[in-house]
Amino acid sequence: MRARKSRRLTFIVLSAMALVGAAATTGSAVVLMSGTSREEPPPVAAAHGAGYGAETISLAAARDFTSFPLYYLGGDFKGWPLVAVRRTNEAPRLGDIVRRDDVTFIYGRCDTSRGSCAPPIQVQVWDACERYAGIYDPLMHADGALEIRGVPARFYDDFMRLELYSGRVTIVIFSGRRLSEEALREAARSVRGLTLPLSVSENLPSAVPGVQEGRLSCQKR
Amino acid sequence: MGSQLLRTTHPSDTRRGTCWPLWCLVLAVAGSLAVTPLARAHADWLNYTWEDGTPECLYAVDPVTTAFYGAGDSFRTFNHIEWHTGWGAPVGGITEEPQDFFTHGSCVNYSGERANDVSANSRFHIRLRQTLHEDPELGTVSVGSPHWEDVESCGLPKHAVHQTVNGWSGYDEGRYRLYLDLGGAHYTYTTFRGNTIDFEQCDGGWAGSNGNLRWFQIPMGTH
Repeated sequence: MRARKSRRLTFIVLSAMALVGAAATTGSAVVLMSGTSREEPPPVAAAHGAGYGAETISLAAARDFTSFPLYYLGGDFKGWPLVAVRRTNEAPRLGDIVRRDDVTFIYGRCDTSRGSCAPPIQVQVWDACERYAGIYDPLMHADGALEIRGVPARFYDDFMRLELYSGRVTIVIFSGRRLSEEALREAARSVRGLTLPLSVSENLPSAVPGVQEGRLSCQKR
Repeated sequence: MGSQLLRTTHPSDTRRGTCWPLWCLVLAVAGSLAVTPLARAHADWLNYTWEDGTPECLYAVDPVTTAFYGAGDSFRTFNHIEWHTGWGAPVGGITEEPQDFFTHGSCVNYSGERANDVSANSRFHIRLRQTLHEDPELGTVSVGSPHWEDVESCGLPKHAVHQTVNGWSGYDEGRYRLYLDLGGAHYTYTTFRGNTIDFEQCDGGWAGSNGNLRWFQIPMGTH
């Protein structure tokens, strides 16, 4: 019995030392040990009542969209027609740090005979309250930072994605194919306004100060 | 960097599951070694799986939404997935297309797959790949593309990832299922990778992840 007590005491002391050591090392260790609380997800009915959801909408409906300004590539891009416009407004979920709040413009179809496939080009316009440069996994590195149409931009995923930071939105252009730098640049040059007057020859509205770094009040997490 | 860590490894986003006393000690020590330097490490993979047969991994197929680190080789990772979810090696019916992953500059075949039902039924399904090189700080890392797939009549019976409905897709459901089943016993947290392509499915639906990546710590021990 005494030996068991002694082992238990040894374990408690060792555990305490390990925990203190872990916590003292850096802030992330503090996250590890203090991360025991949970946020409860909102009730589903309330979430849907607040207008959350995902659906294919018409281009006319997208023109009437008012939550944030929308940009697209016109009725077609490089011969690929606009095949779908989708509005996604995801309810906050337990365990996720970003929820989808975007309108997606999909250009061209792809071959689904072998499973899922990514269409040639799609443009997602996100509310920057959810998606912005500073929210990314610190392990992820951009392929390159540049300026396009007067706003900061970044390539990601081996030149499969180009993000433009304009006003209070993040314009994300995806190619379905890796190593598509030139196609993505061409798409960026073809971006035009849908809910605001902006032609392909004009610069995009400047990014709101602090939006990339996540300093807007709506970006606090 | 501290604020960035707090933002990306959100405290409210973590769960500490039930663990045996010895495991608590091991996890605490491993946590200080493996989790603390996370922001400085460089884990190298691309955020999608790729169509097999193109040597350069050119065409994306599914988003990568889970990562298993620490002792996350494919053997241990499968062992823990099987134990906590009951998923097994898939059998029967519909022929599965092989997929590739891109890690440390190379396009490589997947290490294996697990599912919670035979392929003739709708089910959870994950393809997994151990990344090619150990990371000095993260340890051994495997990445996966879990999803819920329906059986649809697309000429022949085929799998289609459940399309995004009410802002939630089969990709999100697959990641969330692992979170529920593994998160109670493994340290877990989320970062954002932005791999939100809407993928076309054979039934005409569109399915896209919300871009979150769920990390799970895998211990040395197996079940």
